[in-house]
Amino acid sequence: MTALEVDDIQGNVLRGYGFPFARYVLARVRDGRADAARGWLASQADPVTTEAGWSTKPLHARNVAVSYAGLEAVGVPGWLASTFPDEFRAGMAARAERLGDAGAGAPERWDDGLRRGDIHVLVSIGGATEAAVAAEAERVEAEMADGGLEPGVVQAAAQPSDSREHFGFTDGFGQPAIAGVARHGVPGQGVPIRRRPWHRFRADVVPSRADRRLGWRALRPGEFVLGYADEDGGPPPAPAPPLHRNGTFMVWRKLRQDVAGFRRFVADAAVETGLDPSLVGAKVVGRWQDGSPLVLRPDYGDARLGNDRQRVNDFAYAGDSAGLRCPRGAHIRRANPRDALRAGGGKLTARHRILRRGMPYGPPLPHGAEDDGVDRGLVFVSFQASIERQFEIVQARWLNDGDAFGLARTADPLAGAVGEHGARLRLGGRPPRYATAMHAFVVPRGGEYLFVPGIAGLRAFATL
Amino acid sequence: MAAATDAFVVLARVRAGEADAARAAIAERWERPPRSPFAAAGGTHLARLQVLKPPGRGSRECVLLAADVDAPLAAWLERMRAVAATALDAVLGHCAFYPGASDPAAFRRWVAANRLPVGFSVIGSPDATLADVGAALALRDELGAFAERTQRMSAAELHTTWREWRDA
Amino acid sequence: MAPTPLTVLTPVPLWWSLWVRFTWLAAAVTGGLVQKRLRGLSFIHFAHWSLVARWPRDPAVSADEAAPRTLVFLTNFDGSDIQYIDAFVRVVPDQIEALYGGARGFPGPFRFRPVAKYIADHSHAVDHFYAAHPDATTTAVAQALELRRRFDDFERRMAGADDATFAREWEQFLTAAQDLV
Repeated sequence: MTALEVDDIQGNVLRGYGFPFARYVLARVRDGRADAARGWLASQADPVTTEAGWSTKPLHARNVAVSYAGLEAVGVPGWLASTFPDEFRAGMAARAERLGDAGAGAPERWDDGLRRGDIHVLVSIGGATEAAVAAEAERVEAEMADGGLEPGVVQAAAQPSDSREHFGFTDGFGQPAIAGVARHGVPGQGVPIRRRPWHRFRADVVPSRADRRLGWRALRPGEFVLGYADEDGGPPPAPAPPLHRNGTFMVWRKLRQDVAGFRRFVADAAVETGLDPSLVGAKVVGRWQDGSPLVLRPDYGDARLGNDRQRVNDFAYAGDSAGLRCPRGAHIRRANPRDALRAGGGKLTARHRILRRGMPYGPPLPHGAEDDGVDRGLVFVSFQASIERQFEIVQARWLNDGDAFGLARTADPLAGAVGEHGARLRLGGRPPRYATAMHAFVVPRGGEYLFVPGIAGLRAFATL
Repeated sequence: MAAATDAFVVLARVRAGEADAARAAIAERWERPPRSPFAAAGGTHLARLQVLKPPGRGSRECVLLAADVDAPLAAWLERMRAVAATALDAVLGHCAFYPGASDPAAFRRWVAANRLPVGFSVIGSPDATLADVGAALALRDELGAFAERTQRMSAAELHTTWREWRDA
Repeated sequence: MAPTPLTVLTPVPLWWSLWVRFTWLAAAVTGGLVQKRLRGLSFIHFAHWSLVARWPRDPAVSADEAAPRTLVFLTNFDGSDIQYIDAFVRVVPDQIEALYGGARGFPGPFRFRPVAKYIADHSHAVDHFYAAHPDATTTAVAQALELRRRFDDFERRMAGADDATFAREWEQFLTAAQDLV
């Protein structure tokens, strides 16, 4: 397998930085300043952080992405721009029907500065302290102003020390295992292997004895970074040189969370079903708040399991096809079905994995408090080699639709597009219980599809 | 037991130079669902109408008409002819030897002469009529709502609510 | 979103067309096992294959220019064709090989990109299509019909039942049918 060119791949893609604070600086190219902006992009090849390992973790890190509107605005030639995939060229707002961004989440209602065409360049800053990211963001804004760009929205985000998102669930630790990336041997992060005696002779199915023992094999890096073999056996489709290698595609999406509404729904559903509220919440998500998965702990949470990175993701759904332990429509089961798809099992899931690097934003809502009108939620960030194949299919076919799980058109109320008839949760059991969420608890407020060039790709902007 | 549905495909050659007119007729006369002429015939599970060019250098365009319908096919064809004659003629009228939809027997003969056997078909409901499918889909929704509404009821309340639902 | 229609025309030699007819006969004899597998690919609304041994005769076209024997594939499905082709390649490649293995130019069923290109090269725009239940995939319809069958049986059995019996039987029915509701 080709070694990953870590010095040429921007950081936070293959391995998360793990910083607790972030700032996202969004900017547009000023009219008539295409050359300056292109030069600025090229100049970012030096300050951006790469996937190369650290001897000492820096105080902050910077990475740069550009939208198709941004590529056009900086004057990337048409012959190169046309080699980018259709969904990236269209932009996120144009994909609203596919993504289910309607009603309150429709692009026309997105926040100022996050609408169609607002985001040309996005600089992601991660840091160890609030002050570090704020200072770096100020530096970036100043550089942008000199470099033909007009800074717009600056979105702050922060990851609490307990790794919980606003609904109260630990998040962010279920990520794809990627071959060639350190720590890919964590059970449950890759492709499930159904072990057969003849697999010792099939290196393409089970690359190693270690993988056979693990029961999982890592995904091929081409699923996430351009220029490497993917699960189909070759490098994924990529733009033309010089942007063809070591880049990736980014989905950046601001998602507002209705925390009070979610808590109210869980409480109401608990009364309606006779189940404990913590169990109802766990059945919506697929994990207890401590992170332990329902399929391993169907009756009560287990904080020790939740904190055990070697065991917390080591599960599949084959033994729970009816959804009696973890409902078939639970959020994590939809977002990463592992072997749970009715047809094809793990073989199809492997082609629709995403790397998630987002973070919560906004202050927490205290327990028991009514909705205070404060904007809070998740800055959703994902990386994948194909936005259409990976992000869009997960969102459109698995979160917005339940047919892959035998649930007809039912959406995931946590992260799917809930229609006017609501989303009925099937809380499997003997007997089963049901609760209907009449609206989505997560609503998109804006975002964009972006390209994250490799380092050489960034430099190449100077001569395009 | 006879299957509840019939699948058929008709392929008919378009006269030279009339392919664009045939396509234009589809665009003009065949409204998008739910007002498609296929809906008017009743008993149509799935159907399509298109003008296509077969492979091969010199091939000329053909009209393809395909559908999965409530059996028997003959009854569906007659209904289709009766309700959608104008729309059918507007497109199929560009096909060589098409007799028009006004003569039922001639229309039937033309379909039979241009029909392709269906080799292999996968639909969700080969053994159910369209009405059966609609009723089953509706029942699924109603049953889910009923199960949710009654999940904490006593036995007596449950049974009473059941009777109210089923007797309605 | 409305389902996506697809029409694919694939030239096949005579010997392959005979094989394809044989496989269809075998599939009919095996009682719909293959159809069941394909029906489980949840984003499909319908899929339909026909063989054109002889295209409608065109006197203006010479025999050697006439359209060849062609496998016609008609289908409606949800979303883009990515999942469809992925399913062909990763879930049912043997069935696809059995249908297309001898088709002219078919690149083999085991890699997504060559199959996607083959389909794109052989696709024809669908001018008009209709589905009575545009939201219902083959999975959804099959589930609903099976539920209906069990429900009708339950309803018949419960005629005249007392409250306690009904409640007990209802719970058992719902528990057994929960993957269909």
